[in-house]
Amino acid sequence: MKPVEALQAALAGEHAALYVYGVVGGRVSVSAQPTLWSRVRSAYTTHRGRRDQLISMIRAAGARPVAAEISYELPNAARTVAELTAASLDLELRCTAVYADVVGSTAGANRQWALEAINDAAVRQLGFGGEPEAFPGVAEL
Amino acid sequence: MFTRRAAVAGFAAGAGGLWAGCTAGDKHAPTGRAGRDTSAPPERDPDIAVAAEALAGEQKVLDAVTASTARHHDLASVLSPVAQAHRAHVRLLAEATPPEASVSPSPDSAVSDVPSGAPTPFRVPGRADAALRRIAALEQHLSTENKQHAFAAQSGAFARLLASMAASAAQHAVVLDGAAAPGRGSR
Repeated sequence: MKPVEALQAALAGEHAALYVYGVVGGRVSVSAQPTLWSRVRSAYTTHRGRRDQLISMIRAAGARPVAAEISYELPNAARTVAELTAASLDLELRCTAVYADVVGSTAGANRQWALEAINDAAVRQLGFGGEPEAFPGVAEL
Repeated sequence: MFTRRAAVAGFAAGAGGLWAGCTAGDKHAPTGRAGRDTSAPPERDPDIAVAAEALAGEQKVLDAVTASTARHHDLASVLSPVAQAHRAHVRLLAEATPPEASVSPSPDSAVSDVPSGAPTPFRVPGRADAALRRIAALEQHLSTENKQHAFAAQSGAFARLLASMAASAAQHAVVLDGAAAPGRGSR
């Protein structure tokens, strides 16, 4: 994968993450699930930052950043707390894999950035019920 | 089983073969390099040094985890998955590292002290929670080191695996800190 293709794939992933977190955030009750709510909120903020950074990185590489879709399919019904938590975990698992690919496809500052992004996503999985893995983001292992 | 072996083959092939001159008849030889003359002298890929350093780092933490489990049997359930992950990392990195490239660990300095980096031998803290925090700190340190290795790696495929190992260590650091302070909800 060319560096810019990996960055575009990551941007597409962040567009999806923001959409799903937007839905999830709207369905988590601040009063009933304050911990989940604050984790979702914090994740949303982080992913929005990643999206904006990716847009800049892609522009700097001379390409046109991919646009967001109008809507995205949710990984589940996203109604119960368990479903909302699982949907969030699903997103972080996907982002971890996408950022592993960015690390593998880039060098220098962009790789450095992706190294922080994959670490961050892998750790965020834990807050949504994820367990530590030997090779986060590397599906073939 | 399409697992570790295939992935090693994948990254070794991506690197042009970390260990290009791997021994003839090595049944573990990565695939994807058909036609290469195995009798040719080994080419030293710069990633071999990176792999050797990463291997040494993983082995040190594995040794510390093993020592901590031996001293604190009640930590076995917490530390066992941690040890498993490091064993998987060690196996993978060992396959990518020719024996002569290994960084030979000195027997009396199994694990360096994290905060100072001083080459003092690893001593398992007497209290279980302190032992967990100690391993958590080692994991955090290892995560940083593996990120540096991933940054330095020439092969993108290898960098991807090192990044994943760094992320794994970061996950373990959080879980172990949480286990050392139950109820504080550090996760």
